[in-house]
Amino acid sequence: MTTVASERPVPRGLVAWAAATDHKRVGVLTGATALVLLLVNGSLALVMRSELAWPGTQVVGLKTYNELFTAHGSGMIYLVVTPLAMALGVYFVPLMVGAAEISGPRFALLGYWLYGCGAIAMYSGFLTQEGAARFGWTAFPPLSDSTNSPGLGSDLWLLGVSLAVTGMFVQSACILATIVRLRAPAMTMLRLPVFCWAMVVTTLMVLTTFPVLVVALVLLELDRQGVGVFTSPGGPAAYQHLFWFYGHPVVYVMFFPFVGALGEVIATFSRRRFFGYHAMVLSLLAFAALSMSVWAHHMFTTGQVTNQYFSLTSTLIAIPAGIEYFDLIGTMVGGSILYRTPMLFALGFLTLFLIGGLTGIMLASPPIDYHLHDSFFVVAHFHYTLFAGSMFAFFAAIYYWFPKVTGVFLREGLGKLHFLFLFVGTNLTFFPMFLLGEKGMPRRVGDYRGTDGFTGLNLISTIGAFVTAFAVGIFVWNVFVSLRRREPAGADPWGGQTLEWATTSPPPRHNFDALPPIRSFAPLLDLREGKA
Amino acid sequence: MSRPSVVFLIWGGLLMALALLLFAWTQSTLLNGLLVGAAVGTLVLALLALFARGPSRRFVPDVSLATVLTGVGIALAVAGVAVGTWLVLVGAGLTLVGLAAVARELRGA
Repeated sequence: MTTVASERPVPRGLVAWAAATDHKRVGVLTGATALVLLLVNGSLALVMRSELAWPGTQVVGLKTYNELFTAHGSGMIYLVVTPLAMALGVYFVPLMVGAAEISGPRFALLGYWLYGCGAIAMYSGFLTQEGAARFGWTAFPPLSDSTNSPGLGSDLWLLGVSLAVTGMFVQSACILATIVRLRAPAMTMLRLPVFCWAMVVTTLMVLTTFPVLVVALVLLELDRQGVGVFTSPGGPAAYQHLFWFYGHPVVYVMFFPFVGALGEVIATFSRRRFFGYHAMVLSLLAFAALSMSVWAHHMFTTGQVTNQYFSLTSTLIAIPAGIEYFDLIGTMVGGSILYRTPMLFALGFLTLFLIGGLTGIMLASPPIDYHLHDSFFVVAHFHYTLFAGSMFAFFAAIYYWFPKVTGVFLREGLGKLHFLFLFVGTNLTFFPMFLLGEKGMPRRVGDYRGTDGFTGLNLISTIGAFVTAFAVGIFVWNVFVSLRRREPAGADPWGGQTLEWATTSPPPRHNFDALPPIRSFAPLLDLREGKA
Repeated sequence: MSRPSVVFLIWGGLLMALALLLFAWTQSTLLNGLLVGAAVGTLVLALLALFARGPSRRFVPDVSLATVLTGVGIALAVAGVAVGTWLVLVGAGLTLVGLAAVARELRGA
């Protein structure tokens, strides 16, 4: 059932925001909450990096360190990057398909509240007597069972993650239903913008994998209550299969939406139509399907999986990934590129994600994985994909769409400074981790010996973390300054190509007064080129 | 590819093909079940998309406190599993009140 957006004056105040059914408000709420949690989890990372700067325990004890890396890892994945992706989808998909509303606005709001309450439950473990969960974001049994990880904090973490993941599942169902049911009449599937296609494959992965994680966590909680689910000899491996069946696709759930956003940014700032649209669509579908079949490459060293199959599918992913890279770069070729802040972040993504992607192919090879498994090399790899990749693309999207959401520009000078420090800080933080891993430093340890030869690289990494934090500080300051001293942006400040730029900034409650003709995936470009 | 159901069908087909390939390597019920389950789930989505109704008009209020109440109620009930039965009961009660209020909103639409 579709809803009719109210054309009454937009209600104001805290309650009007917290209980809003307007998809734009739900999107902003979800995104803002995730950004606040980004700062929280980033701060936890700074404490961990401070501890690792030198051998010995200076800042926190080992038990607290374990709690911190659990909160940091699970917070970033369950509460920050996935929700940021969903926030973009909830806000922009209805606009980009020419809909007046999201499908199931109450469900979208419900999704936000499940996510928010899940976050509170996860962190409330720090207030309990036994402390917060400290078994890593994966919660593998038997480490996470009630014998090895007793206490209310661990239970609250498990239930909190289940709630947050369910919230994201609900929002993702709303996004997909919007694409299925509420597209403007002329908006066929092959006229969907690249970002919407990215959201189609993302939501398909969410709908098919997130329930598996919830089931795994509920079974684990039952296990902790004494039911005995994963206590048999094959139990821990079975849990790992259930977990990674969610745990690997979620990497792409945290990737595709940002690549889709990047497609819009690069096309707009290259002043060109997106290159290889159909190839991009097919590669997204193939990429997403392959990413569902690679989960057990995380388990090569368990000896419980068929390495050949999972190595083959993991390596095959390089093909659709290469096509997507080719399309993104092809869009720039021959374009008249504007080097505004969103484009700088897009170029930063293309450079840095390549490092994350290529080291992923290395880890898809079982012999190399045996050597590097559970080392800092793996930490470097996934931070190059998730931070240097997804977060750079997210910042590109933020600088690009901020004028649409708020009606004002972010400051360009501060944006460029933010990019510069983030680029330097990211590489300073994460590149030494490759070398540390290669030298044998294991992940998830709060201390090492001075004689191990890890000190110099760890110190560089810690300095890099503080440079990164400074860069994020510039971004926060930029948002504050830009909202206080407003520089109006107008409806279409960048010369955008998709429908969200055909309405006011910010858009009205009902999104559009009228839609332009839709003849392709770039209707506004068609209009400018006289093709409409 | 012009209809969502076709897109879901293609994606479900790809998953099924990958599941068949996996079956050539291992007959593990869990491993094959996960991939086949996802493929079947996608095919069900394709069916749902095929029969999905187009937009229809229904008024939705700008603010829905009933939905918030439902969400908070569910969360409290779930947290109650760890904290205690009393919280499960409080959460379940709030959820019921929230759902009743949502129903009232829908009736008034």
